[in-house]
Amino acid sequence: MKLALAPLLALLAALAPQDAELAARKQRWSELLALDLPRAVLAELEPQVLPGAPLGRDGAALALWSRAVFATHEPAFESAWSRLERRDVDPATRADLELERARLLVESDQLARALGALLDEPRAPVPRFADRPASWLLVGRAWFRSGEPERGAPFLSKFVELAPRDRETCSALHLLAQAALARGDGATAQACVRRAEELSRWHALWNVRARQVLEKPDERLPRLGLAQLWLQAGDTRRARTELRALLERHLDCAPGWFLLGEAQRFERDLEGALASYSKALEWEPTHLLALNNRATIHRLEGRLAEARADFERLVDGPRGCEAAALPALLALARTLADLGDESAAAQRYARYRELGGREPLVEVRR
Amino acid sequence: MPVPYPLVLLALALAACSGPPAPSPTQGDLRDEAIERGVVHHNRSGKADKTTILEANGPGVALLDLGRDGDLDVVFSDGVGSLAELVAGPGADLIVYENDGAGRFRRVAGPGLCGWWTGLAVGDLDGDGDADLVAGGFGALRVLLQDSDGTLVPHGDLLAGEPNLRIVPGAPRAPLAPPLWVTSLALLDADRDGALDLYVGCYLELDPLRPPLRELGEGALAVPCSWKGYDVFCGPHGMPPQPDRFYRGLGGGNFRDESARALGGHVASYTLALAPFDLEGDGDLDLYVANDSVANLLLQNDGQGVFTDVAYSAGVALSMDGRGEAGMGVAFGDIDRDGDLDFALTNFSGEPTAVYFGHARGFSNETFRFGLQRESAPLLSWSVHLEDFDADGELELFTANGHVYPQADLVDTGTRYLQPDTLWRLSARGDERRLARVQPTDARSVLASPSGSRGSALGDLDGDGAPDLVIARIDAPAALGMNRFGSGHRLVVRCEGPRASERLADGATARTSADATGARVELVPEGADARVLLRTVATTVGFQSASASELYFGLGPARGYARLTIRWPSGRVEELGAGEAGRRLTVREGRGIVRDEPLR
Repeated sequence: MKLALAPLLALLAALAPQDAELAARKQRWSELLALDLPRAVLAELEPQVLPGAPLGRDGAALALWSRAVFATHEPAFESAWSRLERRDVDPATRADLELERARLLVESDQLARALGALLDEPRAPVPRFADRPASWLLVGRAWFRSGEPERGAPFLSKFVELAPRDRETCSALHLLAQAALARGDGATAQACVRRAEELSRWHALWNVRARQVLEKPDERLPRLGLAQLWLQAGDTRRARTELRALLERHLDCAPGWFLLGEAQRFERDLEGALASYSKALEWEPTHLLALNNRATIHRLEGRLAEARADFERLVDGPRGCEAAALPALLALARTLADLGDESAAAQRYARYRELGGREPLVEVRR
Repeated sequence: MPVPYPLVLLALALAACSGPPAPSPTQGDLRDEAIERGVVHHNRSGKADKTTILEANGPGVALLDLGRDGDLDVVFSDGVGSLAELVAGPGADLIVYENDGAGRFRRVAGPGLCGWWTGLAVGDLDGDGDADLVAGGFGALRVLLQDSDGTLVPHGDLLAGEPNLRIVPGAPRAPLAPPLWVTSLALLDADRDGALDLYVGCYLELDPLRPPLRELGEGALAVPCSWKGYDVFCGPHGMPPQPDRFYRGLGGGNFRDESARALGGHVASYTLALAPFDLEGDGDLDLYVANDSVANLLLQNDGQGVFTDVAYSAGVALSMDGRGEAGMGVAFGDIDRDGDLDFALTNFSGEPTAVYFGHARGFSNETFRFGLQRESAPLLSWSVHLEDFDADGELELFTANGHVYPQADLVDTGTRYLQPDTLWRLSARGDERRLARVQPTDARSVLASPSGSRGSALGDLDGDGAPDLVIARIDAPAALGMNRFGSGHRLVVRCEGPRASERLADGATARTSADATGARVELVPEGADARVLLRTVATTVGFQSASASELYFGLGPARGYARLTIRWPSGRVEELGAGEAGRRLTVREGRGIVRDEPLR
């Protein structure tokens, strides 16, 4: 059995990176479209989606191609629609193509047709291709545009749940806010607006940073900013990708190493995080956040001597008296207590209290 | 029994593409007769390659009666060849064409201004019964009063006390001092004291000596100014917006800046177009402010001229998708004839011209039900009118089109730099929405040839009672779209409030301005179709332009009207009973019809 599986596993292993690479390319095309660079997508994608070309049967690639054509050709609808008229699409990606057709119908005011393509029956609570967030979005949007917001709202709520940080989620939240206002539910409307504004700001910033990276791929600041945005969004994989690209170019970029450490810490890769914080400190010995986070991980890992050394560097340094150093001072006191150095612990704790700290020396487990 | 789904879909599909009410098939056109009628004005707006955003926005136009001879004369705003040329001087004057009464024009001397002119507003500023003008520009805001022989005479410079915000062509200028960039202007009597107030739409900070070129920001964080991958001029995004202003009218053509009081909490937001209208039917004028690329404003007037933005709760701040679109022009009208004002809002290419229907509580977005996304998204539209050109009783939607980027003509942009203007017939009854594009009948139609239209003004130029269009086109000759539509019956109504001299002793708490701005006129045609036709007196419409203050009613087959009601801003309501079509009526508040002339 083991022998029979081996070639299959080898084949899968060989395929996996290809899939990952293809997924990354599709993501890149999708992001180029978001950056209003449809011609770049056309240039890269068009040769690959022609009949017989490697992606000629890939519904997702055809959908991206169609979207780029919609943004660049006249008449937009007919030109884009014609790119979706393929019969031999890979069944695994058929849904992508069908959803793109539905999107085109919505964007060309053919709302009844769009709903017909997306719903098995008009009051269906679940759309076709329900595993795709876009399906929920399109049904909701079509109902709103048809003047029936009460029908559309449940679909948009589900979309927001499935794709909380998608670019289109801002739009869904706006529509949900309008529907809430119409039924006199000001609190829900306000919550939707707040969330939409926050998300919208994130996407606006992402646009700027991504564009800066495209223009100047060797510059540090844009990539750092982009990585930070991904971290903010909780996408550590994308953050790491940007940071690796940054650190390949600028090995001495301490903030880059620090952010990489943060991504690894969020992923619970504490060894990786420790290594990255150390790299940050190698290039910038006074990087306080790297020092603090490395010390904190050391302490969590029970490496108390290393933790003590880092915390001491931090609180005995030039900014040790600042309010921001208070948590480090307390952590140092506790580390010293854990190490059995009661007198040093008491001394540090007294200083902590003197500077305004109020937490007890002995950690209260909550 | 539930209806089978395919049948429901079929019914929906049929409703979308057939069934009553079909827009009127009336034949006709807006025929460009500018040259034979003597309007040969060729706009200047920088260089053809448009390296700065100022060069791309283009001119406005105003219609007003100069000389009190009863016809409409034309004033164009104009620019110069470049920013450097503006700074060096002498700058451009306003361009004035005088009407002989039959719609033939000759150019007459301008008021002698020097600048790069943009928005124009028309109203009776001194309450003497004739129309005056406010001209906005890049670094300029001037008041011009009409004297007794019909000449526009510079009266006040509203930026006189703010030298950094003014551009005086030919005068030395320091860098890093962006002037005030005025776009559209609206004259409205916000506090109903009988004197018109002035709302000034402002755009963004552009340093004429060091305009950004190709990118915004510096060094590693610079962002290229690009559109679909092509290098284009910078802005508006990334350039600081300028806050709008509000000047309280003191009478006599004088104003005082009361922005702080009137616009507390105002957020600067790249204003391009304005439209005063009465939002809640309380008799005072509110204001819709169309902004470029960010949320639009709906400024509700408290009756004392203090404005609060209620756009979001009214559903008109953002597109239906929650995006700030590039609002370029706005026009109000009662499309569905339900007595509530609706409006059309033009946008950038890739965004539809939006149509909103007014209701008791806010507005509903009807854009997609009309099919306007597909129809209008390829166009970049500026000025807009909701008017009954063909006199069938239903409003048509006109948009003046043309892209801002010359690069639109490069490969794979999905649009063009020059675009034909468009006219659609609209029909809305119950849940039905229909839209039909009016096709040009020949090459002389303003709807035929691609152009770079910007501002436009609507008014009856030749005295036949049919609204014609004057269209200001960027870097190109202006067009006169003479109305050659249909045989429906028409009625023209001119409203007049009391002159300033008559107002002195009336003791009223709310007054109508001399030009009756804000008066609401409802007409019920005689015959079977007794739905009300609603018009309001508001010259500010479209983009940077001022239309005629008289109101044009199309009565279709009806030979007269059963009822004509005027609600004056003072609060007075006048019922004028029935009358015949084919007339031009002048109604003075409190005195009824003071002049009744046949249409030509």
